[in-house]
Amino acid sequence: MNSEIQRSGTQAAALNMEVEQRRRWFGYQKREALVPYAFLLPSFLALAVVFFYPMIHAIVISFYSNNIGSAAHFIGLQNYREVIASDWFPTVMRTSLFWTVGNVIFVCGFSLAIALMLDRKFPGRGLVRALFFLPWAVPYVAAGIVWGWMYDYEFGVLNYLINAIGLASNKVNFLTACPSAFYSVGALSIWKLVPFGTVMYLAGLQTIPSEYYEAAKIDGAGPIQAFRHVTLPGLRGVTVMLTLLIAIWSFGWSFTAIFLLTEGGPAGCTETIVVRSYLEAFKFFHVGTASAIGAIVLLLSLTFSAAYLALVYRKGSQR
Amino acid sequence: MKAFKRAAIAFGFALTSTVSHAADIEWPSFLWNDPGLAPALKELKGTYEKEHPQDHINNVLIPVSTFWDKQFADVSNGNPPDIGTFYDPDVRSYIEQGLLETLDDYLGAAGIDRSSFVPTASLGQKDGHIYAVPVVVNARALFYNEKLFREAGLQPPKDSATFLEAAKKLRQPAAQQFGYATASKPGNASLNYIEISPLIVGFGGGFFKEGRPSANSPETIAALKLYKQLFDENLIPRGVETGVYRDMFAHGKVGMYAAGSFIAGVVENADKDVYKDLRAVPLPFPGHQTVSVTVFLGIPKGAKNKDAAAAVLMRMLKDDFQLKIAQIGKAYPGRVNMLPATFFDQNPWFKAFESASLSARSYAPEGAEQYGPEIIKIVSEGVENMLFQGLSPEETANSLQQKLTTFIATKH
Repeated sequence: MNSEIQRSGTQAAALNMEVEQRRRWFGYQKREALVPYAFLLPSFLALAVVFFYPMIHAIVISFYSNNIGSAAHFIGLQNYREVIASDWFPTVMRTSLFWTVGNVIFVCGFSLAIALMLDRKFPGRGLVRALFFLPWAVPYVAAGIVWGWMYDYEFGVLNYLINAIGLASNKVNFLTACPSAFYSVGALSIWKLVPFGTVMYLAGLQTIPSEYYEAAKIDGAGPIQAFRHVTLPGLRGVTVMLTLLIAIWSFGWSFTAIFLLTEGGPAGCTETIVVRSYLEAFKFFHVGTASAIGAIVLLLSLTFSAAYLALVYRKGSQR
Repeated sequence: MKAFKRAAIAFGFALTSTVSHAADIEWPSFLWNDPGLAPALKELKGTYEKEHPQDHINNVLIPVSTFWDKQFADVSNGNPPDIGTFYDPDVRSYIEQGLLETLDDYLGAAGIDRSSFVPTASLGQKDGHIYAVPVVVNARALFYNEKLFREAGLQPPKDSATFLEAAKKLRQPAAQQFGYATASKPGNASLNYIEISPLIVGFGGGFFKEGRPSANSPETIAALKLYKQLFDENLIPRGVETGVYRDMFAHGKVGMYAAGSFIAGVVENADKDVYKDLRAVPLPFPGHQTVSVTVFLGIPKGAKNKDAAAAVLMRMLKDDFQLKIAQIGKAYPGRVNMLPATFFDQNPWFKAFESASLSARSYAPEGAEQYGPEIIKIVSEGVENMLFQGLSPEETANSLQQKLTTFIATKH
């Protein structure tokens, strides 16, 4: 009897221990599972405050009239209808499109050329690489002020040099004529973005095995053929990624360079949809209209982003 | 009821001088480093804080480049400053949107006669109520550098012909010297509009009159023709920021500049020798009119220290401080008949500004002030097309007339 009691007591103790172990184990697992979220939480909270809340709030405002504060009332999609039907919408969309396409083409082109040059071994390569990456580190506002002075019609160094070399008898209206103002502002944007593209292409070039080039050489390929049949296919993934990133940045953020140099002028020549959104909000006090434009920009940028994420996901699943 | 409210406010004012209410008055503004007005406003801050030891004016300097955006964002997000700063069209927009407190009772309690304000103060009023009070009126007159005129054998311009002749004679490309300076850089629509307004209004023109577009009136076209000629013949610095050509004027590199009296302070700070040669005459254009930019102060709805902010504004409007604004800020104050004859004896150039300040039209589109920013954007684009895209003044005027007519039709 006693031994039976003892045995059942031992069994109960073993069972309790197992339950306790299991509880501890599940608790540990739970805690382990929560750790990544705990690390993500501060960033998420910061993003929620400075990014998600303003974004959602702006979308909500886009359905309200342009009155400020409590006077604003719900008007449904009227702001969107007015924006799309306005006479300026096709113009700013066209400008935004040219801006984006121009940025993508020139950033990818220059970045690839510079990356190919910097990939070669030559004395002082580290220093040259650092110099080429410098524009990325220069603050946009400082760069805008410097470029603005360089382009200045009366006192700018570019007009001085053009005159000194004898390239043109008249001064160039870098920022005071259309479309030269568009190209001039675009040059600043490209100058700022090229270092990023160069870094991506340099990284891409280093992933192409040298055996491919050796095999191409054995097959009789010259430098141009090797570039066409080995380098370009090897950089396809980087090019697609870079194209999408530059497109997202150029379209959605086409503001800083433009605002610093021309504020959308002359006569709307450099007015992109983002600049228009700013003007609607802060110059005309049309908060609802500006928010509707912002929502349209968001929607279009999300299209690019979805393509980018799809690509990243596809690349990830192929590994 | 109204009399009771006024009495209560008067009692409140009386209390502020004896009992502390410890207000931290938020007054962010670009005016705190305005070369002319900042010393006067700092004096006001000192005087007010001395008279109200428990109060403090938090004079935060916001650069003018970001000020308007920040103020609008603060007001529209329900976090307004206690004292807001406005120009003519902006004050109208704020009032129309119901964003400013009425100052009627404060003015009544302080014993300030509403008829004592300068004519452009009417922009701060609606339906018989006062929502913003003028600090200074910057009526435009033509400043010129007498030394440059003397050296070129010129007399001060009396009409458009002598003005153009002076602009041509004073132009010396080798010395980077210009006869005149005005807006010629695309982009900043508001500032460009202010800068070209003396020419347009000086000719008797304007883009809006009595609430109707008037962009293709003969006077406006004549003004645009002169502006285009000045630009095409490079008699004005091209593509240069307003701040830069103001500095050029202050350093004797520009012969004439149509501006408010504040520019005298800019010149005095920059170059004392040029200041000695600074003279001013009324705008020498056929319309014999001038234009002004009025700086308004008001209390946004939702301000935390409304009464204390009003006490600051009322202190500023007192007779003694109106004179100080003119003496320190070299600008015509918001109330008339505040300047003694001795002031004009000491500052003879100021006489041109007194008459101008009392007769000047606001630069805001007349009769459509509440749509000012949109109208200014349309006009600036049209003018940029004329300067930079080769449109003739007539084409520009007609195109503007059409655009403004279409625009205003959507608002009625």
